Amino acid sequence: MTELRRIAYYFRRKHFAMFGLILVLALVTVAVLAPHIAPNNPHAVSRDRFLSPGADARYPLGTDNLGRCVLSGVIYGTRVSLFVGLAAAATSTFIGILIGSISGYFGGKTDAFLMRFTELFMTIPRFVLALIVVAFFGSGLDRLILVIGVLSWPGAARLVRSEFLSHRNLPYVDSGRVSGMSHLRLIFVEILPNIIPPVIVVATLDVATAILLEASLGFFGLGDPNLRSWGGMLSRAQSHIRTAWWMSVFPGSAIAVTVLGFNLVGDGLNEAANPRMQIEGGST
Amino acid sequence: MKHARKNMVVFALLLLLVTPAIFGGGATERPVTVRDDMVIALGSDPEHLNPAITTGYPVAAVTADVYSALVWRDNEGTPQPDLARSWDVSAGDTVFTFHLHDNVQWHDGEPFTSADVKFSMDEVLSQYHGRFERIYGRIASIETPNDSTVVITLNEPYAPFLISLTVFDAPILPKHIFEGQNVFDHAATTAPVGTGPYRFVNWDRGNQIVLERNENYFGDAANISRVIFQMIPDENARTVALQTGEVDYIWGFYLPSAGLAELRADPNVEVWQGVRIPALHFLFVNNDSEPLDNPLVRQAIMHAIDRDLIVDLAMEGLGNTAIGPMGAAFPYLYDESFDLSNLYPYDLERARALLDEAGVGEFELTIVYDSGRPAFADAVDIMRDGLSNIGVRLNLQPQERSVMIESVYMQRNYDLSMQSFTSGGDPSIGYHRIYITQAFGTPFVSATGYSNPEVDELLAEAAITVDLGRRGELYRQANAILAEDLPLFPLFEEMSVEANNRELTGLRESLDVRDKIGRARWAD
Repeated sequence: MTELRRIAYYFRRKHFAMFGLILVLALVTVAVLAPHIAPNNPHAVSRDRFLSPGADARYPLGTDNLGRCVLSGVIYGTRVSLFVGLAAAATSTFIGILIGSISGYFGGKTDAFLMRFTELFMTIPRFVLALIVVAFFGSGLDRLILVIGVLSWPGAARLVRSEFLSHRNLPYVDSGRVSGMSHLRLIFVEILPNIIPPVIVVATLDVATAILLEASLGFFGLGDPNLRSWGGMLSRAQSHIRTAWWMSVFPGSAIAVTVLGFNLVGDGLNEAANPRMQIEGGST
Repeated sequence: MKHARKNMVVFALLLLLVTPAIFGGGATERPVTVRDDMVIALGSDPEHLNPAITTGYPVAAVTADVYSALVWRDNEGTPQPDLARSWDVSAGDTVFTFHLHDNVQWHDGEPFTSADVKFSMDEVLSQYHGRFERIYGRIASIETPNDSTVVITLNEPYAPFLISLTVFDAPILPKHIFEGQNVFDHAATTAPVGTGPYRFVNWDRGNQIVLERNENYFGDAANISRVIFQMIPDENARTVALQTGEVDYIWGFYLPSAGLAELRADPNVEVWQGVRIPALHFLFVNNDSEPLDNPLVRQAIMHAIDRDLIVDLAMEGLGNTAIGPMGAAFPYLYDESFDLSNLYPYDLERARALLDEAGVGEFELTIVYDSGRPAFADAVDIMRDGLSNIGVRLNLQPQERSVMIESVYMQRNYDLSMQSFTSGGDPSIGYHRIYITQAFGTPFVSATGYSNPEVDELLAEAAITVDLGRRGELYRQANAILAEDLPLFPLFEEMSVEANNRELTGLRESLDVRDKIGRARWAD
């Protein structure tokens, strides 16, 4: 609990981290309450198209080329972005923990093999592979999460491994080993809880990466077409960028704000968990 | 790691910043000078400049006035004399005797003769031209009794034969250059030698292709002395180039519909729209998929698709929804009695009533479409909104083109699929394939599974009936049946659009806008 208290103390002192946390909480609120906040059905088309922001009280942020409400689209898009971001980060963290812990705990040949495998994965251009996979297997939300998750785990795996390496020979692990605990128990019950804080940091930053990746795929027309997403809105806005700036500026800002929020929180957590970094970056 | 994170934040902020950076490009004064050239925009380099071995759009665009053919088609689609100054047709509509112009010269000075026609058709077009290959299968023989006569004999009458002899389907190549050569590698495949009103000057890849007037042209000499094809890959940049006067003419193929509103508002630009070579946009319906096997359900869905809204929003007004199952642009096959906008207007009450009558509740349909067509995506979004009002949920499946072909035509794994088919200038070339009985597995024919022997027979007879009165009668009978069966949902007939410098006149004097550009002239 001291860990939590330290983080809370740190967040109160660091305005940037706090600002990030407020952003993230606000976004979560918007996502949860989307049907109640959105002024319109985000899919409803109308002949009132290309209305600029403020031109019509019914559409505070204007309408797109099919007369759909931009504000409602941005609000519902929060759901897609956060859901994909969180689910994909959870997936990648899960895979990362699995591979990293086995690698770090057993060491030796297992470690060497798993780390070469991880490095192999790191050399794959993620975005290009995601493009290909989604283009050929279709782009449902489930597939997006899986693709992004499966392509993003190496960072977490390497972190977990290095933590395990430093823990595997500590006295509490040795004593557990001597008392006859199974490997499984040692890995998941004894060591893992001790390395959670840095994993959370990486997971938080993975959320931001995943959101950006989902938006990029959407921008290339490979998001889930059945949902209004920020990337998808940007994609359609391209050809109208000279005449209807609001079609791209608002979803674009939403992406920027969200990624910024998660990064600030991640940085804050990271610094709170590493007292040394607090001194380095203390002036903020 | 930390560095990467910073990059990400920077990238996210950039998304914000690039937006305003693209603005700008206000009105520019255009220079007032006497012009003797014309700049036409292309989206990309042609793959080469030999129209006999491809059906690609830009190749024909550049070469349609460098090469000639036996005939050209006027605005009404009627064949007019080109290399052939006249022709006779035998009583049975199977023997065509073409009398060629004398004293026609190739751009290199060699004389043109009937041997060039026979060589082009027998040796090149029949092998390498996608559309002529099929026409060639109907030809029994090509004879050249003398230098200025060509006699072509068909196996059986074929109504659209003459119109298949234009420069787009049957350009005539110089025998003295290509005979015995590999047409794909030959220098004249990238530096063409033709008989047309313009001769090829040079090709600066990625930048421009220059043509200049052929002073020895056998017909009326071109008005403008130089034609420059300017490559502009970005579609927004093409629109801007027209507004700044850098480009004089953009064909619909290269004109982004999103830029139309802006062009229409520009006093220096003329935007033309209308039907040229008719093309139909429609939804294939999988007739084997429940509940679409029920005609009542198909009719209900047709009532819940707001075709006018699709045309206005997704197509920027470029479509006609008052059509029969084969459109309305060929006047002889259209009749108000089977006009789909009268039979199935957008009417949600009626749609619900039909679904009740059919006894089906709410259901979901998968709609497959080419992900590379933004207008399709917009149209599908509009349909989804309309259909959601009658309890039909559309599951959108945009697919990469080759994947789409596989799932729609090969696997028939779809409920609805948005498609656009060109008529090819005649219903028997482009539209029969949409409705006749087809074993599935061939791309770009009917994928519906619909089979009506009566329709098959009527259309087969129409293809070999040359008399237009009788032909129209057959088509009207077939269309009346199709309008009731509704094996697929015709949405609208496409309208072409073009934009040009307002000072430029004499455009659009042939059916395909790419030929006869020699008639263009600058206003005084």
